Formats: sequence, structure tokens, C-alpha cells
Amino acid sequence: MLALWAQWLLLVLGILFFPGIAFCISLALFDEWVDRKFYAALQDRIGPLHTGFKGIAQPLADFIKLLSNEDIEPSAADKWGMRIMAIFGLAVPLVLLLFVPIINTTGIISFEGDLLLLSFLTTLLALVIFLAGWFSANRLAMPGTMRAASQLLSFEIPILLAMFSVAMRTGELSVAGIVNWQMVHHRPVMFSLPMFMFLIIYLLATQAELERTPFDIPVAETEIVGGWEVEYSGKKLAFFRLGADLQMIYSVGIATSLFLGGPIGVEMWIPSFADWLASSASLSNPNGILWIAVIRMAYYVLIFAIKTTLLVLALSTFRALMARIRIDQFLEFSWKWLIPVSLGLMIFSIFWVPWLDNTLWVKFEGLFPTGGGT
Amino acid sequence: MAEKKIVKVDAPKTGCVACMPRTMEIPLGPQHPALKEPEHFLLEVEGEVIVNATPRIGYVHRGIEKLAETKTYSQNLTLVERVCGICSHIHSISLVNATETALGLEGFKPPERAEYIRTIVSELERIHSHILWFGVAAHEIGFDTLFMLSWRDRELTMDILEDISGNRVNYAINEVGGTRRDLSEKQIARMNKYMDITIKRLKRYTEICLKEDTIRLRTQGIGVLLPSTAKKLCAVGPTARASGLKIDIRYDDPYNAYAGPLRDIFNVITYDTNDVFSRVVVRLLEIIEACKYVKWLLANLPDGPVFIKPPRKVPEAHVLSRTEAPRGELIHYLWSNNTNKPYRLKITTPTLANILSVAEMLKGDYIADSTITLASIDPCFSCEDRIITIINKDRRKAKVDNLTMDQLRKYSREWHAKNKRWKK
Repeated sequence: MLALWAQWLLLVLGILFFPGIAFCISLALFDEWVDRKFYAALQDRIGPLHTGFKGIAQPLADFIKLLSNEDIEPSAADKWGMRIMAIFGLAVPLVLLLFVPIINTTGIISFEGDLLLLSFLTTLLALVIFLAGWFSANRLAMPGTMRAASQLLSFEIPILLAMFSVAMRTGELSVAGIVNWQMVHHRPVMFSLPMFMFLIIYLLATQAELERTPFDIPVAETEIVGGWEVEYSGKKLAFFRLGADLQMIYSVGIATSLFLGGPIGVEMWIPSFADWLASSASLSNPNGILWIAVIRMAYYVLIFAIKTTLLVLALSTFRALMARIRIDQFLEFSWKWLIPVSLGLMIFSIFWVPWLDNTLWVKFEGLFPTGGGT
Repeated sequence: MAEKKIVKVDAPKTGCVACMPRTMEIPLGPQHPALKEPEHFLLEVEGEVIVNATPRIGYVHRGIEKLAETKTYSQNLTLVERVCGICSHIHSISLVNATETALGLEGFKPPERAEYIRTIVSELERIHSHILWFGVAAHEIGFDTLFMLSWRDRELTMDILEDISGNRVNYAINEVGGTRRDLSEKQIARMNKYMDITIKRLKRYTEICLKEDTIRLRTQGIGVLLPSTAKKLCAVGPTARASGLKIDIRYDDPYNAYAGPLRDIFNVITYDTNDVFSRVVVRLLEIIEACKYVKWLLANLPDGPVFIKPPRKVPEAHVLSRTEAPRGELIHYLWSNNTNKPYRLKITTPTLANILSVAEMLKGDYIADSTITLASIDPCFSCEDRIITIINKDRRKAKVDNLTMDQLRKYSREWHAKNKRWKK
């Protein structure tokens, strides 16, 4: 076992660099590039091209350029409110990302019941956006703020229902517990019909949370000129933009952990590979082999990056396919369709799924060497 | 006589809901992201619903009519092409038709091939203008993919126009007495090929628009203009045709090649749902029709010269020249006086005819729909302005001060004496 100061040093380094802030920002900027390139390809455009290899450094260049831009604050606005909200807009997604398992089956911060804290923090993001629009005291920001508030709050419910359905299905209330459940049961949560529907509902609600087409109603450019973020420029806008990228990574990262098995890849079905990975050195297993630990870390990061990027591609396909709907049509869709459907699905999954899953799963048991029932 | 009793009533407290005015005024424009040109609409709203809309025009008066009186007919063709950036060619057709009609009093007739080439260019212009509008409308409802793809396909038409005239926007192909350029066999083959591709693509877009749910959610049932109202407010062009009125100058009062055998295959597109969706469908179908006309005109292009030298002076005449611009009926009124310059030229663009209709359409819509409703008439506000008015701060009383040059100088001296910091 390492000394206490070394454990603390590792924790701080972890938060600052590798699975923490620096790595998450790099992954967020990479996924923004993937999103922009793919979106451009769907529209028969080229997308970012000149900065770095095929424009891969363009999101970073945009961020740095925005930081250097002039920061204008309207005289009527609550200036300190705007500044603090910009910082919150970046800090809250960063905090959220510490809970997502990336290099391990547990996140940097992990405890029993952290799913509850995550649900609270995501709602906090909606409040940050609401206050950000409110403080900027702009005539166009006000309708954007109101639209953002009603949209984000009405789409929190399906997200929470999806998250807690997974918790009920697995009987775990922490992200790490759910990832471990999938490891132990040799299948991702997604491999059952109601849970797959919940994944789709979660992605749909994520699209609304991230304010992307067809749910970009609060920031509609042609209607209300960017909505709540209309008065933000320079550093503050850069913070919000990066915060949005990080929020995207967090949302798809949590979807990966809850539905797709997190950073666990094929070792779910290859027990010898899983044993080999488990023989690596770690804080809990100091007698393990060190170079396997490095491979294990790289492997988990790779699997996590692949899964999140695939989900980001799904989100950008969705973005390219539709027109923006109106706020009343959106609320109707949300309250009359999505929320009742997710509630019904939740009840359905409580009573039916354990039985149905077992019956179905036993039939496919032979497909995978270690597959077993619940 | 009974004594009048004066009852003192306390002024209502501010914030009393019952005493508040039921409607609120929201200005749309002159600077607004949905408007590419300055224009003002004062919307009276009850909650989210617009109950009344008052347009105000006259932000981009450029004095083109006055300038036209100082230039020769040939120079004026260059000038009127600059009235509109999108439908530039149709303005020069209108003026050249008016001039040639006046010259016809002395027996002048332009060559037939030139008339066919003019018609081909005007149909190509209609295609690119309608696709441009389609893309803008898609962007307006947040469908950026359709915007990008339709503008990609517009490039085919733009390439043809650049090929045959040398320019992408102001083609300058007309001249009094014919056209400046002829079409070669190679160009005709290329145009046929590109028109086939455009027809294929546009059929696909029409299919998408008829089926796609989000487009229908945002366009159906909004911006309704009933046929009777459209007739009463003198709507023109696709706006009127989308309300089910069969109005098309190309068919009703044919000019150039439309007066020939093309009239037999001519098809006036109408649609009867009277809303924004109807305008989308009408324009999309019109593009396909225009592609077919171009192909027909190319197949039946007569031989002969494209230019005959006209007389220098235009005999005295009053000519009203009507043409069908992409946006609707365009009127050029020419008063010639036996010189080489017009005595008076009056231009009425289709947007001016449609501006009352759009004020009617806005009534009953949500505020979020006002931009797509406004865009649905394909507005070109800068083309329509022929007059400028100065309006007081309270927006209702017009006040125009006529100042002479000396008075202006005096005013300027006084103003600068008052505002010292502006002095350098």
C-alpha cells in the first residue's frame, strides 16, 4: 500500500490531468471536432480543415480565439452575476465528469448513491443557464431564458426516469455499481427491450439538454438571436462553449456507463482476458504487474472514447435530420408523449423485465461462453 | 337643468391586471436577424399571439427612378439591373420590353432568337431565386441540412448563368434590340444536362417537404391568407398562387417567348392550403416547371441574329410593361419623349404588392412563427422602396421639415454651438 501523501498526490494529479480536467477537455474538443466534421459531411460540406490534421485543432483554436476576444458587458446587466454564471457553466460539467468511469470501472469520485448527486447537479446546470440569461438583462435573452427554463426542466424528468430505471433494474445506486453489475452479468444493461428504449429516451432528452437541433429552441438564431447567450462574448462565451462540449461528453459518458457497460469492452465475454486485466497493479492490488496496469488503462480509455464518440455521432445525425420545432409543440411532445411513455416504460420494466430478460437471456446463453441469467 | 356631479375616481394602481392594456406592442425590425434587409413591423400581441401588424416601408430609398431620367436607355439597363440583387434580369427585361414596344410604333421588332434567350435567362433566374428562397426558409425553421443541400444544387444553375453571361448575379445579357450574347451548342448541351439533374433533385426535395414531419409542423396552418383576402389585398406571384388564385403574367399577359407556342404547354401552378406550406410547395413545383420550360425553349430555339440595331431615339409613348418576376408581377411604367432618355420611369416591385398580404398573414400567428411567415412571401424590401418618409418619435404623426441649404447651414452652426464636444 502506498503512503498517504502519495495517494493524495495521485488523486490530485488524477483530477487535474489524466482522467480529470485536462483529459476530459481534450476528449470534449476532439468530440466537438468529430461532431462538426460528421455534421458537415451529412450536409455535403467539408467542415473544419486548416488547423491541424484535417482541422482537428479547430475547436481548440476557436476556444483560444474566443478567450482573446473583447469581453463586453452591458451596463444594465448584473456583471458579477454574469461572470459567476460563466464560471459555473464550465465548473459544473467538470465536476460532473469526475463521476464518470473512464480509466477504471469507478470514477475519480465514487460512493454509494452518487447517482442521486448527479441528478441534482444536472438540474443545477438548468438553473445556471436560467440565471445566465436572467442576469444579462436583454430583451432577446428573456424569451430565451424562459424557453430554456421550461425546456430543461421538462426534459430533466425523462433523464431522471431513465437513470433511475437503470438503478432499479440493476439494484445499484452508484455509477460504479452499475458498471460492475454489467461486468458480473456479462451483458450491458442495453441488452433488454425496455432498457434499450430508455437509452433512446435518454439520448433524445440529452439532445434537448444540450440545446441542439431540433430542440435548439432557447438559442434559436433566426428567432431570438442566440437566446440566453446573446449578451455573452469573449471569455464568458468561451467558458459556456467549452462547458457545453463538456456537458455533451458527460451526458454520453453517463449513457455509456449506465447502458453500454462504461469502459468495459470485450472482456465482458472473455473471462481469461478479464482475469489478465485484473492481474494488473492498482491501489487495491499492489502486488500486481505494473505494465499490465498501463495497458489496462489505455484499453479502458480507448473503449470509453469509442463508445462516447459513437453516441456523439448518433446525436449529430439526429441534429442534421430535422427542423427546429416550436416551444409549444416541444412542450406538448415532452409532457404528452415522452414523460407518460417513460413512466409507463418504467412500470413495465419493474414488473415484466426481470422475468422476460431471464427467459430470453437463457435462450441466448450459449452464444457467449460465460453468459448467465440474473 | 340638473347640476353636474363630478365624481373623483382614483387613478388605477400600477400593476393591476384588469387595468393593464390587453395588447402589447413588439417591434420586429428594422434590424432583426431574420430580416436580411431593413423593414419595420409593429406587432400588437396578446400573450404569444399576434393580433395586428403594421408594416412600415421606406428604409432603403436609393433614388433609382430619378437617376433613370438622367441616363440613356442603354445605360438604364445597367441601372435597373441593380434594383434587385436576386431578380436582376427581370427588371432589365421589363425595361427593354417597354422600350421596344415604344420603338414598335416606328416598326422596330427585336429578333425572335433574342426573345428566346431572354426567356431562358429569366427562367434560369426564377430557378435560382426559388431555390435560394427554399434554402432561406429551411434555415428560418432551423433545418440547416436542407439549406446546405438546396444551395449546393442552386450552384448548377449559377454555373450555367456564369457560363452563358459571364456573371453570377447581374447577367447584363439584354440590350435594346436583342441580346449581347448568343448560346453555343456546347452551352446548350450543358444546360440540358444540368436541368435534368436539377429536376431530379427538386423532385426529391418536394417529396421530402410533403412527408417530413418537422417541416409540416412548422409550416402548416400558419400565415394563412384566404383566397378572398388575397384578391382583396392584390397579392401577386407565388403568394397569390399559393392561395389558389390562378394569376401568372406569363400566362395571362404573355410577353417574349411566352406569347409563342410555349403558351400551349404552360402550366400555372396553384395550391390550395393557403398557408406557408402551400407557398413552399408552389415554389418547389414552379422550379420543376421552369426547368421544363428551359428545356423546351432550348429544343425550339429559332435561328437568326440575336441583335438588330435599334433607332437612337424612342418616340413619345406611355408604356406599361408587366412581367412575372420570381416574386410576382413586376411593373415598369415608361414615359418616353422622343429623346434617348426616358422622361419618367416608374417601377413597382412584387414585394410592395405583397406587403399588405403579409401584414394580414401575421395576424393570429405565434411570435415564433412571425419570421417564417414574413419570409414566406420571399420579401425583397430594398427593391420596393420608392419613397422615404421621416416619422416623429411617437411613430404616428408624420413631420417633414423642408429646409433650404441656408437654413440647414444655420441649423448646423447652432447645433454645433450647443454640442461643444463634437467640435474638433
